[in-house]
Amino acid sequence: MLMRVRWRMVRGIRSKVGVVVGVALMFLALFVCANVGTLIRTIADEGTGDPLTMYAITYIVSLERGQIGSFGALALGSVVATAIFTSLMGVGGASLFPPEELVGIRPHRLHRYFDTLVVQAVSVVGIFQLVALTMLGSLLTLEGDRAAGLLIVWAMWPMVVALEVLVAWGIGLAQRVYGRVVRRVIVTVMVCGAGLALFLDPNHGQTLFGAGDPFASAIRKATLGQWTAALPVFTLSVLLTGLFVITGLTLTQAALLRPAVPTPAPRSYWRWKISTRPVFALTQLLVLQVVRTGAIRRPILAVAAVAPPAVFLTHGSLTALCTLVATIPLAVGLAWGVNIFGVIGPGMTWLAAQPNVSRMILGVAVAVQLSIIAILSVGVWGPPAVFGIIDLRTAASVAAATLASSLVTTRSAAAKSVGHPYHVHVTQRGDQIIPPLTSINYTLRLVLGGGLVGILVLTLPSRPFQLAAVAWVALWTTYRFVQLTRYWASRSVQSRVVAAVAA
Amino acid sequence: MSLVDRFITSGRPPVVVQITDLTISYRELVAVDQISLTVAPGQVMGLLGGNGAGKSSTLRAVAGVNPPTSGRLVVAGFDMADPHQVEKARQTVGYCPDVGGLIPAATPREHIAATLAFRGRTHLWPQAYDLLERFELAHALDRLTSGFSHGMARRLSVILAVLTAEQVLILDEPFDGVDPDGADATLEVIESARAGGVAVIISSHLLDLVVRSCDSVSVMSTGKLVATGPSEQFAGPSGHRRYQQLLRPPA
Repeated sequence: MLMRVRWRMVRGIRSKVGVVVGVALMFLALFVCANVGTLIRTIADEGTGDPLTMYAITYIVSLERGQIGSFGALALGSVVATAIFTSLMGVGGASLFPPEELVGIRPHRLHRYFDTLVVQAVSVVGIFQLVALTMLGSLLTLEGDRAAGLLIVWAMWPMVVALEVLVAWGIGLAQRVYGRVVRRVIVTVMVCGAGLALFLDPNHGQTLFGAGDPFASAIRKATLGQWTAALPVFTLSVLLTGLFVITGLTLTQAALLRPAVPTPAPRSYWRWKISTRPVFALTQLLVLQVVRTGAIRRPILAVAAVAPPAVFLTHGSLTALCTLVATIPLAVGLAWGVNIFGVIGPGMTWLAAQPNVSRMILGVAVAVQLSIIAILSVGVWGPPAVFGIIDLRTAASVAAATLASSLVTTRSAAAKSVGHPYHVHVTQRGDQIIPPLTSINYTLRLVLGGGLVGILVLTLPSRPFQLAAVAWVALWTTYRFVQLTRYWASRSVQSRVVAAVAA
Repeated sequence: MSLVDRFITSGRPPVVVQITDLTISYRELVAVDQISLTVAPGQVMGLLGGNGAGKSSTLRAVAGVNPPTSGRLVVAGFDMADPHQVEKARQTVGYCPDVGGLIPAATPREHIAATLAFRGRTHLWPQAYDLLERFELAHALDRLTSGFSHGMARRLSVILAVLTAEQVLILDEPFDGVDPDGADATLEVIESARAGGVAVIISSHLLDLVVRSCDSVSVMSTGKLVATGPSEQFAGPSGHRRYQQLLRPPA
């Protein structure tokens, strides 16, 4: 019922078409990922001797030895990593509607569990996990009955989603029983434990501590018709899914029977002197939004925490470089850029009544976004460059690619802020700055726009080509940004945005 | 003292807010339908009306937040249809919106500092501290406003508006959720603004407080202006009855 209500809240034909296109693109991505294995086999069969062919052959050999292979490990590793981070960041506890908005309906208490389960499944993270698992299934089934392999990996998806919701409500229960400190202790122990395990493991987690290879072996046997070997893995997935759902329901029930943890009066942890110059004062206000709003801060910190070890552990592989060139601007764009005015929320009425602020705010918000990307990029790429993991030539290519990707992503995100502002609550854990369905749509568009441009620049063969591409991207985005600024200068557009976010 | 005498002694125009045939539409919905009003310096005008009468839309237009769809709106001598003049008009207006009006992740200190910075009036910090004391918010100067009660948020919005009201002070529902001490403090600052020659427009559903604080009252119903007159006309039981009759839609 809540999903039906949410769908009715997607107003306008364009928005509905956008959601439908997003879902269609998701299925397209699933189809492409389901055929990655065929692609690798085709590349290897051609045997042209280029690096891609060699990589494909190496992959097939490692698979025939019973190893999961680097692509597969990356896919499985990213599923596990997102499951952990989603739980820790509280996203697994997100809901379609804030509980206070449902007081009049009085739904059954346990709707909260299924609400978070659905949100998690259709969130960017949930869809990403499904796509990654599909790719994993395809990579592990280069020959034989692929459907059997995919069945096993798809059985893992509900298990992972149920696990995330279980952990989120587990933390929720722990908070209600033992207080807020416990959550921080749990998070610290989990992060430190994972870091220590990665450090001590001889393969630095690339084989998922030895669990990846038996898993891959079981799937391969299933594709070859040896169902008795694969049945335990499939059964285990189904049983664990059931166990996680039952435990999750129990924990949710137990948590909701207890009173909610009272939110302590928010306070500023430091006193930042606001500049007397209007443009700097506005910049400081926007930076404070980023720093003090968990929904914005956490994804950015997550990238800052995960990306440098990923570059070190993969020894600066092309896959890691391409992923991060697309991910860093994407993370900042989704966390802040796509709904800047929504995050400011009720404060927009106040800002709109101040002289010259409406004129400045879009440019300042974009500058803040680009600055965050720049700082994050230096933090991610600086240490590997200093320690020689990536050479200076590669670092220059990465810088050019990140710049191109950032410009396109930032402009696109700013256009979404102006065109589709959302009224949001971002004061509690698990709150998101855009609705779950919209975030899928935006992710696809930002990846296909900014992310792909960055990856293309990175893979261009020579430096002059890269520089020319970056210059063209800079010119194009400047032109488009000037158009956006002119659109934003209209007072009717500004008042529409204020009305949408400050209600 | 007549308005012309006031202009001669203060050097300000006799009318600081002039609304002529103002219409504000949101797509098909006409929120404000051809209303005309004037407010002089030192005049306190109450804007009354039921929910959805168009009061807040009118006040947002005067504050420069919403553009007029048609008609003429002049604030402090600046034509609000001209984007360049709007910025100059905003410089003279202090506005307390009906809902929200505060950034959740900022403190009162940051709100005040930014407000004064935007208007180049950082020398007003002593007045800001006085207002914080008067509205009993000094203890919460470094707390994020997301943790404020509704009444505390209202008080801070009033402070921000009062601090920056050079010629026009707009208070949209300033008494909403405010305790008696806060209401008294609001009435005090309205009186100070009047004494300082600032034109004040107040919108509220609390008829008694409006009658107490205003010189004149205008009543809106379904986007139209249905009555304007001295506030005494709406005082007492007979004034209440008259007001209720005005709110009833025409048969």
